Amino acid sequence: MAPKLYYPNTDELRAYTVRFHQPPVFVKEDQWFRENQAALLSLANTDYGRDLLCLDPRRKRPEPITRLTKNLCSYYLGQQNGRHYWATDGRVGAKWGNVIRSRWLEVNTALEQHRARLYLEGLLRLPPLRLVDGRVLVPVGGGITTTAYPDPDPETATVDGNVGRSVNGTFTAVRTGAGDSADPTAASLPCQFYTTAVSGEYDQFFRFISLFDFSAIADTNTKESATYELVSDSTLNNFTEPGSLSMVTTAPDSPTNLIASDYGTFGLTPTAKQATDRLISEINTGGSVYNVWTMNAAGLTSISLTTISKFGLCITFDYADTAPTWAANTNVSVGIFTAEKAGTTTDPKIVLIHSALVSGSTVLIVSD
Amino acid sequence: MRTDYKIKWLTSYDSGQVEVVVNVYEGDVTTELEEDRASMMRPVTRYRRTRLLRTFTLSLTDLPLSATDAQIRRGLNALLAEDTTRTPIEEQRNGP
Repeated sequence: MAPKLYYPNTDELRAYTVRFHQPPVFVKEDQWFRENQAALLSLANTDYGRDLLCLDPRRKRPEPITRLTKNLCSYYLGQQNGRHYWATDGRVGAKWGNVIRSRWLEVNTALEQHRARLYLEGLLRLPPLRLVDGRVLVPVGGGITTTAYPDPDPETATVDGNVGRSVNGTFTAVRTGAGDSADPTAASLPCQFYTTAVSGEYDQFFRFISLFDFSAIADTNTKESATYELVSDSTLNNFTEPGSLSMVTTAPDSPTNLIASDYGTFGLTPTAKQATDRLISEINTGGSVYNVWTMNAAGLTSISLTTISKFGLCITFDYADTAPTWAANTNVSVGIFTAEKAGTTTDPKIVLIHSALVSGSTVLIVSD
Repeated sequence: MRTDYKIKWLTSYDSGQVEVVVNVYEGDVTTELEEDRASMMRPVTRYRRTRLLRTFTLSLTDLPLSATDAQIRRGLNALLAEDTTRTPIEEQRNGP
């Protein structure tokens, strides 16, 4: 008998019930669960569905279910410090495969209803549901996580590196002057500025640029949340004020190369801030641990699903046009590993949680 | 001649499916002058890529829920080792 990809339909099941000696129908369970995941999760996040599928009731497990396989059920616990957390109930046996098999008629009827509902939601292109505090509810279809990295040299679509101005002058003069250097090829580059030995004089302003390509994601997807992450090998702040690093917009001339004039394309206005600043003293400099910026609504908007997404980092004193108290030969600096570095475990990256529209607004169903 | 790969992007679905787009490069360890933090030029010896060899997409299904980036990289390291004309960089070689 040829293997079936689905559970038996109603007619097949009835026929099987009557003919006792017919060999059992072979079902590719893993594939069935994958192909029916959206409707299954939609069903599993209702009171009726939890009862039907022998899942914990919502009074005991209020978290939304984001994955269901024949022997695993994942509950989304929430987000903390830019990371998403799930709890998974795993069984040695195929508990949910067996439940669905034994309650097939009821489950199949319910799944048909939820498939229709998901289809209609897709047609209506409903916006994602938001809680009163503005957070987007996790889609029943399951969050999709896409991580993008800049290209190393030789670049094909995206670039990272730094741009700077190294002409002694006042804080404002160096900050707002024309850039005179660009480096898209070094393996480690700083965001920084110095003071010289001359009173009131600053030098060596460097800002970091990194570009990301998310254009492979269908632009009908809903962007749920994102983090910007990088690995640092050194930090320094000899000024009396605590320094921090700001994530902002930028608009380099080319997506695959950096030039000195890109220095002047940084968004240094309040609306350009893409994430909450991070204190330099809190940045891990072990050279292997990612430092995470949870991107804000503006940052999420800046992630393009059709073109290259462009982001910059600069010292917050530089961003805010607020000179720290001058002292001779003092500096503030954050060393950043670029995509140029060998290996793939320290490249700058953006981790985007998104969902396909057809499975977008789903936890709504729990209200029935 | 050396070779290495870079992950361009990686998508993980809740169903367990993972899609990875990978760029494979050719390069070598060379010594070139690079600017340091104080804008001084100094010789730096490190792996430098010279050209992009190919881009490929891997679609991995039925990964366990606990599949980690390390497991994916181990698989990519094995693919890189199939190139008999180039040596993978140290960071992308699987141990015994």
